[in-house]
Amino acid sequence: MANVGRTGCASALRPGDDVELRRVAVEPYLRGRDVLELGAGDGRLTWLIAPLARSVVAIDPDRAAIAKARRAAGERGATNVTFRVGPAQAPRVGAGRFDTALFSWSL
Amino acid sequence: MVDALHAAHRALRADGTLIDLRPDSDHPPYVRHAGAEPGGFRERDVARGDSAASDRAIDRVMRDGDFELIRAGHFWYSLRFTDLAQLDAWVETSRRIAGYERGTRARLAAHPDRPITVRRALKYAILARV
Repeated sequence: MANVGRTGCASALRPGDDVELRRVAVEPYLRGRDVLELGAGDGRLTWLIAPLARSVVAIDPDRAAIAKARRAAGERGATNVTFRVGPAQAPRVGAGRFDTALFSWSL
Repeated sequence: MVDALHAAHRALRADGTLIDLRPDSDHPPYVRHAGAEPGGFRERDVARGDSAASDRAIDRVMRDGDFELIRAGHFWYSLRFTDLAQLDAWVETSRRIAGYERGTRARLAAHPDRPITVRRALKYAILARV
């Protein structure tokens, strides 16, 4: 049973644990990789990806959510995660930089 | 949506992988309550439309030769609500859910203080950059 994780408004009730990563069995595509997460929100999945990945660039158009994620990054001492405000259509990350791109409820 | 997939294609290395994970409009959420499955929910037209558009975008980039499918599917997960009031609050504010299917809420209201489980499906696709 997944816990209910409230991210943003109640409409965004999503699983609070790693059920998505486990059920889709994506660890081979994340471990040791440079990951681009599109639609990261406040970092709900980012914090599950970061311990596996070499680096994570997490992007979301919601400034408030990214601000919350950045605060959390500071509190967690995360060193391999960068949060940026931006749309998935124009992530401004440079070409050929990532091993994995994850659309997190955002396509 | 195709623009976002093209942007991801540019950002990925030659042997990169794209993962798409999102709610599955082909399998709408439903309720488990007091040992039964009393009904489900109606999704908003815009949510179903967005989901269909995302499916078409994935098909398009594969047809264009930008990506090849590694695997795809869907899975169910559970969300637990403490009572009917908490579930009502979710339904009322959801951007995807338009409301209960006919008769569902009336059946839930027979035991409004019992925990309610919503079963929800997510679909995924894992694609290899070409």
